[in-house]
Amino acid sequence: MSDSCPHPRPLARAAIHPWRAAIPVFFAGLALAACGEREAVWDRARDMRGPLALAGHLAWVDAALEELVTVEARARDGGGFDFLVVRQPLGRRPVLLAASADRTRALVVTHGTTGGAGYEAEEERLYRLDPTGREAPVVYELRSPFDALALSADGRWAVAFFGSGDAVNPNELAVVRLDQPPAPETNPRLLPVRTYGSRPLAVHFLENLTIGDRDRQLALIFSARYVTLIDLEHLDRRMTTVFLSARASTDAVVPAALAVAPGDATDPEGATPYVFLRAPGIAEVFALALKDNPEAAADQNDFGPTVNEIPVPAPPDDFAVFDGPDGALLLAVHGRTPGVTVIDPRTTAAWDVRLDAAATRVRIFPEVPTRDGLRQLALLWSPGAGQTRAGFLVLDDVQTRLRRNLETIDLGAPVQQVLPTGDPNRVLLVHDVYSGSLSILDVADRTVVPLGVRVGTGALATHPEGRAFFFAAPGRNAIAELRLDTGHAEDLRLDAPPAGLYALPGRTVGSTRRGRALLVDHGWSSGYLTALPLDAPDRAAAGSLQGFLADGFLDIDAGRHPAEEVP
Amino acid sequence: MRRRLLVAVLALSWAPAARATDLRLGADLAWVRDSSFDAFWTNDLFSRFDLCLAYTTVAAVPFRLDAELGYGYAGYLGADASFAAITSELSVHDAYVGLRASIDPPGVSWLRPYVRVQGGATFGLASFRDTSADDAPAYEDWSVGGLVYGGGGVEFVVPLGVFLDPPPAPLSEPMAFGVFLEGGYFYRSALSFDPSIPAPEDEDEVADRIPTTGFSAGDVVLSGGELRIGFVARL
Repeated sequence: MSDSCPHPRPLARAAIHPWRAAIPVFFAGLALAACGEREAVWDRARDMRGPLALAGHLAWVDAALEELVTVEARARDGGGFDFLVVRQPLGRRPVLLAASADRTRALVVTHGTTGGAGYEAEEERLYRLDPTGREAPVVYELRSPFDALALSADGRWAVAFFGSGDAVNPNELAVVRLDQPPAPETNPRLLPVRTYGSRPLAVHFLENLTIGDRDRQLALIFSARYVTLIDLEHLDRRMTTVFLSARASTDAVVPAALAVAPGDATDPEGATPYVFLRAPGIAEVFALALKDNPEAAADQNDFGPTVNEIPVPAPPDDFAVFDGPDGALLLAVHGRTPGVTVIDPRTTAAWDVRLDAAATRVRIFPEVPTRDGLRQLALLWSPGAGQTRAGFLVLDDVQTRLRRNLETIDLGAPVQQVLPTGDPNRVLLVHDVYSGSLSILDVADRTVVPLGVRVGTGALATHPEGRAFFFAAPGRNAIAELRLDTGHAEDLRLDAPPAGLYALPGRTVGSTRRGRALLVDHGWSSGYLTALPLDAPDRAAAGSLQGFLADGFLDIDAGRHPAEEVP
Repeated sequence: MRRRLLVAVLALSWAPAARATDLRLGADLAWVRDSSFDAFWTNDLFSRFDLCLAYTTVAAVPFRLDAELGYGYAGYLGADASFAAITSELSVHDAYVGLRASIDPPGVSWLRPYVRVQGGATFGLASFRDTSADDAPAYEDWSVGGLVYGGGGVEFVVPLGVFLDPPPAPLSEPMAFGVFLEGGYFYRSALSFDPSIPAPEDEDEVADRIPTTGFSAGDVVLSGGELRIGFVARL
């Protein structure tokens, strides 16, 4: 409130005529009305990101109030749940919410503010937060408004970059060691990626990749026409750029996906891993061999890539690595032919296998029991597009047996997704979104068992140990549970229709697991969750929590949000 | 000199004076600066109606001390909290007792300055509706807090008899009517709300419902400086 606001004057003793006395009162009231505007924060537009499933919590970022909201459902001994709601303040303008690799921490990128309008200037930051709120957040100063975050699978590294390219220098990125505390200039470390006309499009991690006789921690950055390798443990060394150009096409090679074949650690010359890349519209696979180079200068990477462009009959839509007799092989699937190509990166030899049904996706099953013993098997299918058939290709000896290793079966309906189950040789097939039907595919005996469950556009969650699937059809006040050990499906009635399902494994606290629950989000803006026991969902043991996203909203610190928008 | 003054004051206090019963109907305008009030209204002005009955307990010309019993009501408060997608509504009921001390300035019979103190309880009934769920019932809760008010003002009264000459017996002194203007400060203890969606009325439905926990909305503070204007009838 401005100090310049006029304050009501006391009634003058001389104004003894009643109606004269009323005039200053009237104007005093008007002055009050003019000064008494509502605090700006109350008119802020709602901006909620999430929910994000952590190990034992669901997390949201309330971007309007710049807070992280977490909910833990704690099972009571006698049934039912207690809910713990925690709100933690964040920096200005949170834009991105992610989970740490072990899902025990929430990561939030904020864009800060340049200050003004009552705000103090604040740098862009990466927050690492304990969802229980017991530990103080770890705050890394990113110093640039990155809008994308790549996280290593081991949880040690994060790279923030400009995914949208909307930046003064879109080639800048920040490397963060999440397992170490923040340090000025070194953690995070800001790096400009050497540019050859493009910018970082995606960042991938090659953690613990053995090159020669040492494990390396590498980041591979995709750009149009090239990729860049960074040794994360030696950021002072020069980055390695590998150019990608197609032999048979003048189109720009824009890498879209990678697959990694580890090297042979017993090789006397040291392990040479391969990184395979594919690009849309390019009928080639790029195989990067990463060789140890101990003779490199001190400011150079002590490994060197060589790239082989291996032609395939059509642009690969997907690929996967499997074990061959002399080392890892690549299976590339191309739906346009339709066919697959087996590639040996050491010799660049390739074997084409024509498919009976077009496939654009591949999933490898490494140990499938057959009459001939355990075999590697590839499931080849095409999502949607009316394709109901899928191929099974036995990968052992495929270079010699080719199509004789292929079997094609009808799945009964087009497949949208293939999801793993607790059984490594059984997968859940989510059929097209129109029918919403599901089935279980047993890759060992090639059987498809349709389920009497339809999810349509509803929600689906997998038991963390793969014991069951949970489904929610839109508009129904119920969820369905399918137990994979018995094949038994059970409907469970709720009090409101679900909008999302989250099977949380729980977080380890001493010898117990906390927050292990099946959480049903009913999709209310104010928050409405129902918690069920994860391992034996039961309505009698359920508990609901309503309104938690508005928790404490009357106590909002309006002084922390002085303007309707953050400058 | 001081002794004479004391004697004069004592003499005045024992002088006979008319006892009266006042009925006051006031419109109160409080300036509530606390941010929590913004959840329920789009500016800082909290207005309410007030009905107060007062009876003269001590009357000694020119002083008078009235005991008061009153009720205040504000039932229209409602606003949207955009960031929470919540529409909040609040009705406030005040019940209080008070004391009002007034004086008749010599020669100005129609003007009476006064000070008053009041204490009592505030009952707040709040509802919070999720704007995203059309069919969702509102969260509701009530809360009780204390209130203390202190202020002063003037009342302008005209004896009813001045319009009739001679006045009929029932309209004799002290019957009068007039207006009052007053300023003061209203302190209310915070009203705390932990709302939940009311359980269904059907007992079977209640028993079948999954046990549900509401949330803590926080506290609303309704204290602030206040202006009062209204009518007074003296019987």
